Amino acid sequence: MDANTLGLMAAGFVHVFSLMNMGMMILGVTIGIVVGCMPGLSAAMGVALLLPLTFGMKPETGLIMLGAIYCGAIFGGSISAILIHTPGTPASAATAIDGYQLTLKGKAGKALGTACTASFFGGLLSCISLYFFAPALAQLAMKFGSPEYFWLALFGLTIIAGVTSGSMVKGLMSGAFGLVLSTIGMDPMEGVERYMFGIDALYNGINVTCAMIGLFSMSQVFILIEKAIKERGNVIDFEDSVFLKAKELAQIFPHVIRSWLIGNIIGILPGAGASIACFLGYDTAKKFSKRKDEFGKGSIEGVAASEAANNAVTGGSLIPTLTLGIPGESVTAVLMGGLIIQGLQPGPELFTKYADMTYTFFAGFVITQFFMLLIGLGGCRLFAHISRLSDAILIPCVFVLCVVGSFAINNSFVEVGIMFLFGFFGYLMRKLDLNTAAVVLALILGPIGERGLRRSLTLSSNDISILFSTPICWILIALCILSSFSPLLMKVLRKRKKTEEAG
Amino acid sequence: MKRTDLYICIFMYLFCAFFQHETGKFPEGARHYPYFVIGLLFLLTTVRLWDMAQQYMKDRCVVNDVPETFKGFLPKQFWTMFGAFLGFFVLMYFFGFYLASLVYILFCLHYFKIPKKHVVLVLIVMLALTYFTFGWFLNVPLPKGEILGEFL
Repeated sequence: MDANTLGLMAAGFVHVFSLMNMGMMILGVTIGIVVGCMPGLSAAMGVALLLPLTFGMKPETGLIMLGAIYCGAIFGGSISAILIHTPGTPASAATAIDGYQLTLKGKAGKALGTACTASFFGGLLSCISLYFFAPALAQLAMKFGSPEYFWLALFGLTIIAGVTSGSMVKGLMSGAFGLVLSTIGMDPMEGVERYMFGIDALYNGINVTCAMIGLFSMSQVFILIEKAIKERGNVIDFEDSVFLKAKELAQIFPHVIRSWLIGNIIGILPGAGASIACFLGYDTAKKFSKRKDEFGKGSIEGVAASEAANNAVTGGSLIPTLTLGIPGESVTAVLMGGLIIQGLQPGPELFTKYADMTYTFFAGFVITQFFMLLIGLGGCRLFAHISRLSDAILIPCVFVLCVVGSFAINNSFVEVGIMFLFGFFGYLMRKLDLNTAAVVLALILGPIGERGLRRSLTLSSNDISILFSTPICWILIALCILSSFSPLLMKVLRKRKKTEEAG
Repeated sequence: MKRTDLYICIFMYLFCAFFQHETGKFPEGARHYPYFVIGLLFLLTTVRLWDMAQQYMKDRCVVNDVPETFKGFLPKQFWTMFGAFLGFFVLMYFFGFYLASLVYILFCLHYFKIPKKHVVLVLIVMLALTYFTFGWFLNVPLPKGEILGEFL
C-alpha cells in the first residue's frame, strides 16, 4: 500500500466525521435493523425502498447511508431469529438454531448480545479486505478496454447461473429476459429509438431504480397480500444482560475469526451471499468447537459464528461491486444502483478521480460498525417489539413508500407505472422460480456489455477477433465458462460426496 | 415436466416474437445487438424446453404444479388489494398524494381489521414520514392532483 493510498485513507476518516454523515449512519443503521428484524422484509428490499432518500445527498453521504442500512439489516435479521424463531432475513437462518434455544432457556439477552458483538467484529474485520483488495483490483480494471468490458459484463451475467438456487437454465433465461429489457431506450451508437412506443420517459432506458423497487419491494407486497396475515409469536421479555463477559468473549473469539474469513471470501465471490455464509460459518464452528454437544441446544458459539460470517460478507461483497461493477448479489446490485444514481460508474475511476468520495465511504463503513454495536445493544429490547409488527400494517406502508420512492426519481407517473409493472412481474417470477436478481443484474450490465461489444466492433471495422485479442480477454472468457458451469460442477461434486458417504 | 415451466416457455417465445417483430422496424445498423440478445433468450428457452421434453419422455405426464405454486393463495384478498392499488393511483392522479394515501391506508387497515388506535398511529407516522422526508428534506413536489391541484 503506497503513501498516497494511506493519505486517502486518513483523509476519508477526516471527512467522515461530519454531522450529516454521522446522522445518516445512525439513521441508516436504525432503519436497517428495523427492516432486518421484520420477517416480511429483506435487506435488498429495504435498501431498494430507501434508495430515493439518497437523491438529494452528497454521493458519499448517500452511499454511507445505504451501507449502514445494509449492515443494520443483516444484523437485524438475528433479532427475530433469536426471539421469535423467525429469521428476519435468510442471512440469519443459522442464527435461529441456537439463538432461539438460548431464548427458551431465559438467555435471550445473552443471545442478542452475542449476535450483536459477533456482527460488529465480522463487519469491522471485513473492512480490512475492502481496504486492501479493492484498490488492487481497481488497478487491474484500469487495463480494461472495450473488449474486456464486454467480457466482464458477460462474466457478471454468467454469475447469474451461480446465484440461481433452482434451475441454472431458468436463471440464465431470467438474465436474458433482463438483457432484452435493457435494450429499451435510445440506441447508444445509431441514435434510434428502440421499443419506446412513444413514451419519452423511456429515452434513457428503463430506470434501474424503479425496476429494483418493483422487483424487490413491490413484489414483496404482492407476496404478503396473497396469503392470510400471519400472527407473529409473542416476544419473550428478557431480563438478562446483553453484555458479554470476558470469558464469553474469549470463547467466541476463535469462531468469529474463522467466520470472518469464511464470510469475507464468500462475499468477494460473486454469486454467493450472506445466507450461504451463515451456514458455512455455523458448520465450521461446530466442527472446531470444544463444546460440540451444545450446538443446537443453545450455544453462544453457534450464534457468534453465524452472525460474524453473515456480516463479514458485507465488506467483501463491495469489492467486486465497486471495482469491476459486478454486483454478486441483490443487495449490492441495489447499492450499485445508488452509485449510478449519483452519476458515478463503478470501476477504476472510483479509486482515482473520485478517490476522496470512495475512501470517505470506506471510513463510513468502518464507523457504521461501531454505531451498529451501540444501537444494537442499546435498542434490542425496542427492536424486539418492532419485529412483531403485523404484515397487515406493513402492506400499505411499504406500498406507499414504493410509490413515493419511484415518483421521486423523475417526478413522473410513468416511473410509478414501471415500478408497479416490475412489481407484478417480480411477484410472478418469484412464484415461478425465476430469478429477479438476474433481471436487475442484466439491466445494469446489459448497457455496459452492449457499449463494449459495439465499440470494439466499430474500432476493428467489424473484425470479431478484437474480442480475443488480449490475455485479460482470455482470462475473462475462462471465468465466464467456469461460472457458467459451476452449478453443474457443484452438482457432480455433491453427488460424488453423497455416494462416498453412502458407501 | 411442470405445467408452470410450460407457461414460462410460452411467455418467453411470445416475448421474443414481439421484440423480434419490433426490431425489424429498426435501421440495419441498430438491429444486430437486439437480434443477438433476443436470439440468446430464444436459445435458452429452447434449451429449457428440450430439458422438459426429455423429462416428459421419461415420466409421460405433465405435472400440474399450479395448485402447489399458489398454495394458500386468497383470491378475494389478493384482488381486493390489487384493486386498492389501482384505486390509489386513480385517487393520486385526481386528488393528490396525501389524500390518496389517507384513504388507501384507512381502507387497507380497516380491511385487515387493525384496531383503531393503531390505525391513527400508522396514519400519523406515514403521512409525517413522507411529508418530512420527500416534501421537506428532498423537496420532491408530490402530486397535488388534477382536481385538488386547481384549488391549492
